[in-house]
Amino acid sequence: MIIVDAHTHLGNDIYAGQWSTESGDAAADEYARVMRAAGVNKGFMFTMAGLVSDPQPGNDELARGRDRYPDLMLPWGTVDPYWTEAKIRAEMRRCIRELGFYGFKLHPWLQGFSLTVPGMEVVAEECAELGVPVIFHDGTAFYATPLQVAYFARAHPKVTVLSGHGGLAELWADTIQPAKELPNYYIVLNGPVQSGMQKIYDEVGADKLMFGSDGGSFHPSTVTWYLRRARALRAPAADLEKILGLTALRLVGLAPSPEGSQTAAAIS
Amino acid sequence: MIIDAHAHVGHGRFKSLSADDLLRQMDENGVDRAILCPVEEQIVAFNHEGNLFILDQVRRHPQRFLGFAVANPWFGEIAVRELEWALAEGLTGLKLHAVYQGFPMNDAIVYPLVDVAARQHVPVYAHCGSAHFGEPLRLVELARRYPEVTFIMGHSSFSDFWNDLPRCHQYAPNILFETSRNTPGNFQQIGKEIGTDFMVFGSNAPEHYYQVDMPMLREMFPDPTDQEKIFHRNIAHALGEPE
Repeated sequence: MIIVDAHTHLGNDIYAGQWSTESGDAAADEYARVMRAAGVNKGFMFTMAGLVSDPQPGNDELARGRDRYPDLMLPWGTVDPYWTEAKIRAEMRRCIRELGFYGFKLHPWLQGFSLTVPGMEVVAEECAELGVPVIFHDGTAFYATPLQVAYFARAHPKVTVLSGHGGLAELWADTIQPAKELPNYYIVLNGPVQSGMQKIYDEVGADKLMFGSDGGSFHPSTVTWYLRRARALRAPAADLEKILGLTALRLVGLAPSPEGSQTAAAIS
Repeated sequence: MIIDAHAHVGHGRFKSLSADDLLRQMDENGVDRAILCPVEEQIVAFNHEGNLFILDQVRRHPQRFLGFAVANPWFGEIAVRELEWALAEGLTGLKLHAVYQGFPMNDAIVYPLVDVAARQHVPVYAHCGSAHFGEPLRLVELARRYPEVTFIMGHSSFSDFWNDLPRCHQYAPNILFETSRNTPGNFQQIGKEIGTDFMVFGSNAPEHYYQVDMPMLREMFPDPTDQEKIFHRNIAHALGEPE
């Protein structure tokens, strides 16, 4: 079984107050050590420092990490929706066409924007044009509730939108109806209470769900705990295989559709 | 000795777990005792029904269960009498839920209930982590008014209030931080900036599973002394039990 962690960050420990991208290879080495020790094969990898300071150095750090661990790291870039339209478009195109990234991660709370600001229309247009998904932090009042993310997905049906935290502990129930209703809305199970994870799975099914840990920048137990939580779901083995990796691989075009002939193992 | 500082039993809209099933889970995971409280409807409206049910479970299994009473402060004098009755009958603390019960945690409406807890020398468990009514600093405001009362901050305010926790401890050292729902990254911060003297293990059963969360806490805090504090000593001290 291939395991893909659909929510990770590259960077320093945020609790140490270190948001720098100047750690050289150390952050990538630590990320690889933690992920491999946990048995994770690949990770959707987001910046940490780039969410709280200039996004571009954060994106460059992701590219350097990926170059060091190309089999493990699947980078997703970020932009500031308050940039000029031209700058947003240029950086998004650079991330996908030059750096080979897989999508974009935006954090309305840390980056301080509403999903309704004009720059987010530009982000949506570029995601649709480039054919890549966008993942949002969600679960937090006031700019990052699951319903705000779901209505962004509803307003932009050509964009694949991921709920990055499944609404966290308090708002997870709000992810269920959008996931059932909207073809372009997916959930990363990184934050709902355990019984909420089970309820989401029972209602939504495995094809829209992905394991995610928020690991990389935090204590190694972040990854092992969420793996333990995903495996504690009452679900058939085939569905757990989707949640733990296949759904994520399919989302970024690294695995075949269920009808395809290529196996996930073949691309690992 | 392992004590689960927060578990729900009964059958409610969101949570459903029988006392027998909880006991089985406790036995399977080495949990000796659990502090029970009722489920949603009984927290909100049917306080007496909930307190009777919890008292019944405690009396059936006095070596395994303790119970915290619920009383919605909107019921005024009725709530005060309900809490006094439940404590006299054998419950050992007060559980507040600012969101379900519909009041800002630091609003004066709750003072008469906390007055009872202060007079009876019992701890107060407060759900925290919800924007507006359940913000951790609202509990700090309440805790500063009652420095003689031990408050237990539910879920150590997960989701995204981790930034506030060191300041909570700085201004209200009479708050303990309960672990259910919360994450390794936040425990790393709490352990480092507040310390294990102020952490108590809770499952919020049936929301979370012992077999998933207890290994994580042991990984995070491998020192046996820290584990003893988190899983037993701190909550036992809050309950006034002998060392």
